[in-house]
Amino acid sequence: MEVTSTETRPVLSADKPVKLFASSDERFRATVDSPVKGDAPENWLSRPGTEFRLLNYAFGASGSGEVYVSRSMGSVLDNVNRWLKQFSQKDLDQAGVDALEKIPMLGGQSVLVLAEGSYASGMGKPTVDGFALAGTVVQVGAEIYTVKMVGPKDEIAAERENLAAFVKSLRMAE
Amino acid sequence: MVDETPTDPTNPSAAKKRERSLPSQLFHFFAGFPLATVLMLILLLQTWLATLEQVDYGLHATLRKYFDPQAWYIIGELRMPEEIGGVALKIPMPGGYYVLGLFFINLVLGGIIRARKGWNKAGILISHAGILLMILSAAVTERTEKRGTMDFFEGETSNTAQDYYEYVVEISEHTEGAPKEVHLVRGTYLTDLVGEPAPVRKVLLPNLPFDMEFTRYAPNGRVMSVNEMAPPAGTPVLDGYYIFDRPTNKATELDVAACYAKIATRDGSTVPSFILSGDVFQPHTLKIGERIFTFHMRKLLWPMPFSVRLDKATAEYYPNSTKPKRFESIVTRLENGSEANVEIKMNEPMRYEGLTFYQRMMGRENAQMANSRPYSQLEVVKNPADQWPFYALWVVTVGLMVHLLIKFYEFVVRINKKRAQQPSL
Repeated sequence: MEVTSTETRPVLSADKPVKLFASSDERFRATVDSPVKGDAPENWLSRPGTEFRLLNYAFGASGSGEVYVSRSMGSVLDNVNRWLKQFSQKDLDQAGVDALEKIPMLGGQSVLVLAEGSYASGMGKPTVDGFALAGTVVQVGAEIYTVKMVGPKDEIAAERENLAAFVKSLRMAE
Repeated sequence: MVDETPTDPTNPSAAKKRERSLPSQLFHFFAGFPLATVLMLILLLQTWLATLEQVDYGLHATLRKYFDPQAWYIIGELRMPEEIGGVALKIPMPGGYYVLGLFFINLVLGGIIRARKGWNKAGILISHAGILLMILSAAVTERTEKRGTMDFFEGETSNTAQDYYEYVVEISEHTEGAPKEVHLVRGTYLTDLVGEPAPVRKVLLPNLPFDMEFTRYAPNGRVMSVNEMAPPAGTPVLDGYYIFDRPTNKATELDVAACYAKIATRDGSTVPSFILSGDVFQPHTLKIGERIFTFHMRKLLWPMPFSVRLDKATAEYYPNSTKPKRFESIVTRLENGSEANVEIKMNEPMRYEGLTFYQRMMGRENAQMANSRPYSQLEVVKNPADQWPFYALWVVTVGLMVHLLIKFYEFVVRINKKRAQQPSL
């Protein structure tokens, strides 16, 4: 199956300046400024945001620890239980959510969700054992913001304090 | 078309008909009413089925299925109501393009050449000519029409229209920071690279220092990161990304194509494969020797013979709805140093140099912010037969009016003659 192509066209008004040698992340994912900013610890590696990740970081020696900030749908309760399901844990009721530890986030009080065990993120990925979750969920106006940290259990335990500091540092971008 | 009188075996003229030569028989077959009736019934059925099917499969896909020149035959689908099983009846029939072609021949032979001539048949002949012009305009449109969009924000100038459907691969050499010319690999070389085992096409590019290979074309592919979703088994992953093959949209123009690409250097050196997609923020860049090339997949762009500047975009909607009441673009046409101001409104396009610019859409850069920059999208159509259906309708109307007047005149003459023959009291 071989063909020859010699067709050309002139440069047109639709040909905007491009970034040469862009990485795959820059090519395929929007790198627009996130509506939220935060002060990440030095040992977190900043990664390009995605459609669903406003801020995106990787950490840990295993290379599988990650932290990301998202804007989500539903209620705080819905999001807490969605995460717990990924670790095959029972749903909480509203009283259970109210009893969770609180961390200041984006001008409100986020709830801290902790879980560990086998992690099934869904979206076709296989279940991984020995994982843990530490994440926060807060409602700001009509929107839900989440910070989700997942990775190997020991790496999560080592980053708990960094997570709390990062969550407290989050602010809306000007 | 010609009236067929019943044949009588005792009639010498009927006997003569039976003795017609083969060419004469063919002529009578292709000029006859029976063929015209069958063809019109098929066209009626096709129009009806296509109207029903486009709800499920989209307008573009359905039109292509029923009326594409490549479709010699089609299998029409008639879905029964759920109450009686909901099964889809399959109805084989010839392709609409060829049915129309045959109907054109039938109308020329029967409706013009063999039709009875005379001043009192003038209206019929004129109407037949109008229908022929209508079919001819459809054929010319099918063969020559180009259709795309021109998008710009207020204050911007454009000299480009973008095709609705065809994705192409563009290769540009960057010298002094910008390309001077863009090399194209057309969509026709890519769209058949589907299915398993994945076919590969090598495209020779004699004007460039390399050739290219393409595979796994996805007409509506989403480039996914392995961090977002695990790739299906057997899917190539390049630099953490892969192409996820999604079903196509009913509105085909919303599809975003993607494929895997590879450079075949003339010296045989290896260059890593990469993904091309219509949904990217930056092109792929490669350095071949000392030369820098970018690779981009996008919808085909065609240059306009002049530029258009959007001076003002006005959009009004009916209260409490998104239904447009008035879309209007005030533009300046720029050509060879001269300027012309034109207003383009809904149903009032700009026609110039064989191109027609229709007002299509309007919006704002950020739909949530009322004060963000407004933009306008014009539909650009290049079709020499653009106005022919309009003329054809006038011809048919005039023909029928003439026929009506002739018949009325004949009626009045007949009545007067009858009255004159009646004995006066």
